[in-house]
Amino acid sequence: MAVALRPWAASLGLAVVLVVLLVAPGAAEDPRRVNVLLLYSEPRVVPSIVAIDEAFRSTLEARLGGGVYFYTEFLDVSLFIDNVPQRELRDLLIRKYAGRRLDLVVAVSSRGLRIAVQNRPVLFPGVPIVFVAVDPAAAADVAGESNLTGTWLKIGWSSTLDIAMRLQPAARRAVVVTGSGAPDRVWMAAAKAQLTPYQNRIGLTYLSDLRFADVLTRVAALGRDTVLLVGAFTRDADNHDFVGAAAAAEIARAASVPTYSFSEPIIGNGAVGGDVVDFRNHGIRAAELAARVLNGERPAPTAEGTNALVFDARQLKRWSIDEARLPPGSIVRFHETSLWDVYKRYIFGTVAVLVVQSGLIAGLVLNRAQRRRAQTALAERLRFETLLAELSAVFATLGTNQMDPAIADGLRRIVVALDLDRAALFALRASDRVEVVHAWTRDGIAPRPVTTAIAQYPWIAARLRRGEIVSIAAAADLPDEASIDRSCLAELGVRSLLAVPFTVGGVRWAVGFSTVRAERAWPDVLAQRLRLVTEVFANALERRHAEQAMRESEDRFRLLAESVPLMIWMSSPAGRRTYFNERWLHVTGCRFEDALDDGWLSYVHPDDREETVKTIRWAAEGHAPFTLEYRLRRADGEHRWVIDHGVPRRSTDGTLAGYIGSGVDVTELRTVQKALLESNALRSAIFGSVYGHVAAIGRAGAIIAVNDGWRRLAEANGVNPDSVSVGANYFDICQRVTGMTDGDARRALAVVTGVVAGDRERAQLEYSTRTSDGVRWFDLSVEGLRRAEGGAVISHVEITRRRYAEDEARRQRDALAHALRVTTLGELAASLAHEINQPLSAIVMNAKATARLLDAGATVTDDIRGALRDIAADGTRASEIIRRLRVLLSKEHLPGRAVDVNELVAETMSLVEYDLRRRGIDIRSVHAAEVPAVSVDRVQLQQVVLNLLVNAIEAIAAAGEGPRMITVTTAARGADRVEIAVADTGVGATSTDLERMFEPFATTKTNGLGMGLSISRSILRAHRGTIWATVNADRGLTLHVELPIEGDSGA
Amino acid sequence: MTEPEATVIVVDDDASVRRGLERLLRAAGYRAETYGSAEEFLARPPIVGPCCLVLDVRMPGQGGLDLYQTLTKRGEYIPAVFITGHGDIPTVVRAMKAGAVDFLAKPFDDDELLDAVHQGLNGRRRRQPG
Repeated sequence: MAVALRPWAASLGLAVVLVVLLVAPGAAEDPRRVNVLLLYSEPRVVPSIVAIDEAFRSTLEARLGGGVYFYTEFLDVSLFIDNVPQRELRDLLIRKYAGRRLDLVVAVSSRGLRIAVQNRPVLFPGVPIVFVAVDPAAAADVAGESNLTGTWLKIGWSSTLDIAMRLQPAARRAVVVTGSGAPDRVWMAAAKAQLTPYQNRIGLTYLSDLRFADVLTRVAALGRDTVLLVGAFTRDADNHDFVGAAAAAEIARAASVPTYSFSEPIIGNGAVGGDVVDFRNHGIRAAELAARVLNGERPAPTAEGTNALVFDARQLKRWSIDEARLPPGSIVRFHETSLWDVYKRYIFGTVAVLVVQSGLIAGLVLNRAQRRRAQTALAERLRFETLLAELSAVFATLGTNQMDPAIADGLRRIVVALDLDRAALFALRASDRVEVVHAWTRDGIAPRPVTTAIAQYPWIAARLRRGEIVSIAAAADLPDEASIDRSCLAELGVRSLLAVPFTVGGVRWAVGFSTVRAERAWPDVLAQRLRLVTEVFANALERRHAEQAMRESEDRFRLLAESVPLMIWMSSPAGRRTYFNERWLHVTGCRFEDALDDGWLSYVHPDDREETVKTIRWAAEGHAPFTLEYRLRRADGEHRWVIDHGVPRRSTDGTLAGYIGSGVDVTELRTVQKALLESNALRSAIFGSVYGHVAAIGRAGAIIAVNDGWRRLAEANGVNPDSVSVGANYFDICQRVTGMTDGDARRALAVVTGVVAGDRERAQLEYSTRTSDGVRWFDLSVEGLRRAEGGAVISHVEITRRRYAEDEARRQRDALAHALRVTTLGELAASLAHEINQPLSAIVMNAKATARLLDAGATVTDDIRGALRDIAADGTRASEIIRRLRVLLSKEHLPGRAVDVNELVAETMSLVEYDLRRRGIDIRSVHAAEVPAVSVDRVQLQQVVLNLLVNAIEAIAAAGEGPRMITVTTAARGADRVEIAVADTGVGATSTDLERMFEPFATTKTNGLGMGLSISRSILRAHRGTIWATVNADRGLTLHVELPIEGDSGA
Repeated sequence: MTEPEATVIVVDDDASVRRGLERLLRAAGYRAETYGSAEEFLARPPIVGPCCLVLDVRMPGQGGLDLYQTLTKRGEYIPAVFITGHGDIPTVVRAMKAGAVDFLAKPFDDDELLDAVHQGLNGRRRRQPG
């Protein structure tokens, strides 16, 4: 473009545009922003890296339309001899990028790629990797990875040799030189691989592993028919390191024949030319691939368009090679008039500035003065790059205590190199302070003030905080919104200012450069370079920050160690103790010096020493933690038992750094433990020997102890005792162990659950099991465990014999109850009949005897008189019996006695106690405190109550599952009546049954006369009382008996 | 020489029955002794001459059957006639199996009783059933 710009106008325009564009408000981290990590393994300012970096960034930003944030890592791998500190690298990367979302990782060179691939699973899993300029031979092992693409480095040995032979047809030998470093070897290997086919056409000599001086000598002595090919030279045989193309340049200079190379920096530094890897193209191509990857595509790696034939016009001239002989498409550089080309490769930066840059370039190209400035700028840049390379090398190996002078010196050198006036490294503290940590001012210029408030530079500070570079070419031209900044800068005499921010340890730092004497423009190039500077400082500061943090943590540890009531020690990896805390020394009364190494062992009881030493040694071998138990001699001479636990400490690289441990005095604890064990043993013995089959269970049913009897019962029932002992769940195994039937087991479990749940303190029931030798009866009793964790003790005791005895007694009681119960008129009549028989028989016998005597002719004797008298008496006796019968038949009210209803009910309940227990039915009585006495035939009322109880029992038994409870209530009803009620939880009845059940012969029982309730009703009626039934709300029936109280019984 | 007189021993807890039975037996020409309980009878010295027992089955304390079994265990096989106010079959069967002469329910026919006593004393009935 042929824009004729005036120099100052162009600068001004540039400055304005730069200011506008560079200081445009940036966005806070946009979640849609694409985060890209650039991984460079080589020193940062190698020109190839610079070219790739710039081309990649600009191309990718262009492709994505902005919204890309680049993180950059220079891993300086070639500074380490083959032994790359992987762990440190990874830790650094983790520290910096943990928590940051990365969308893409870009790895430059095979080393960078390897590092990226190896660390991807840990650092950025699933993130695609795009590699740039990777030698396929060097990266064969990682090339097969998935989610990976990039540009292959085409190392053009053969193509370069082709050119050399073309330009020097007379050549009969080719000498190939590289260095001894790792990358150099890679190049040499590629050379040998590629050039072997040329062996027929030209003699090949490979030079490597030489001292640099020797190399120079050799190349200076080469004959006319030789061409020299130079590859990478990063280190010589003496392990001298060379940066960038420095070595190759010197070789080319010293050589007596034309030097060819396909390394671009070398071409600019003495080589004639070669098939050059165009790193800029690599950058562009890689960025294109990256854009496609970010778009979801999976493009394949490529080497297309990454090489170019490049020649140095100066060298062509030096060796008198005519340009016309060059192959078509060659690029010839370093023409007098081709500054434009040179600049284009190095200056192209961000797309946003592209237009402006073109303007700048046009201006520069067209204007001589500007051209001159461009030349000086180039020189300056070269100086600057060298400076940066040195700085990075210096800082990489700096100890943290040397850092401050190094930073100050670094600032000084930059100021000098760029012809600036002031530089400073400062931190923006959270308050409003600017803490200037390092500053350097050119002689003759007033230094900047030591403290500055952020309030003085709000606009600049805001931008720095956002992470934006602040580039002010003319302070006086700052916009109004930065008026405060403007005036403060003017006070300091600052004409131009460039400030580059970075973050260390969560704090925002920045490096600032300013001019006082004159304004100057800050090309974006420069800003990028200076950003690299800040990276150097940032890394150094980061390291220092980390070391400080570690020191702080050590201090904190020490404080802790001294304040806890534990005996703390530390030891070397071999076990020699290096530290004891105050407490340790206090307890033993030992001095620190005396306890170190193995001195402390003399305080360990002699009998425990050997074991202690052995354990420590054994643990140290395996880097394992250990626990010791030994007697330690206390200051007062007493030996105390100590439990000493040691754990291994690791340094950041994973090796064993030693042990750290703590000891506790456990003397009292041991005594208590022993006593507890003994008491436990005693209790176990007692428990084990208890009679019956006993299991103690926890709240959830887990068995916590069993006695021998339990195990025997299990065995007897064919169950492995171990499977039903401690640990098994009682509820699961109860039936198996005891042989209960399902119904019994259900009842038993319900009862146990009730006790365990706390519904009741204890419970008891009886059950039977059917075995081959008959029925066996067991008594199951459950007693709740009175402790916080709950649980219960369940014992099963065999009661078969007792049961049979009780059965017998019950039978007799039943018979008695039966006798009481069944008072039918029939039976009454039967008994009455028997009673009448006696006097009747007597009457008949007396009469018959009298008849015989009279037949035999006897006179009326005393005998006959006696007989007649007896007849009369017996007749009266008989009629008396008849009379009683009539009374009963007429249901006349018999005079009753005053009966205490509560007492009677209690007595009757005791009669059925056995029945209740056998059937697992509960009974409770609710007695009113003061119940008036009723006038009633006691035996008859007892019959009624007994009848009701028996019916209730039978109703519950018939109901099967469900609650089994009888409730007997006595209460006064009104002023003149008393009620007794018997409620059950049995089968119940329908409403029609409620009346019918009192009819004679109304029964649901298969073997009953059904007279009970009808007789009861007769008895109640005879006493002017009532009896009726009601259905319960939940379950079963209630039978009510109501009687008049004493005093109301008129005859 | 006259044979020793046959004795009929009555054991019954009811006084009227004892008196009536005694009169009847004497009127029939037997010598009669009466006891109110088995224990009283067992306290008596051993009997001389032919003897027959009339035992009430249901008595407080030892009943008639038990008394009879006690005697047979002692080796005294005295013929016995059982009388009772109840007439349940199992008791009857037991009595007959034990070797009773007869089992009569009160009130009984006087002839029937005298027949049974006669049989007990002589081994045959006084008169044929007719």
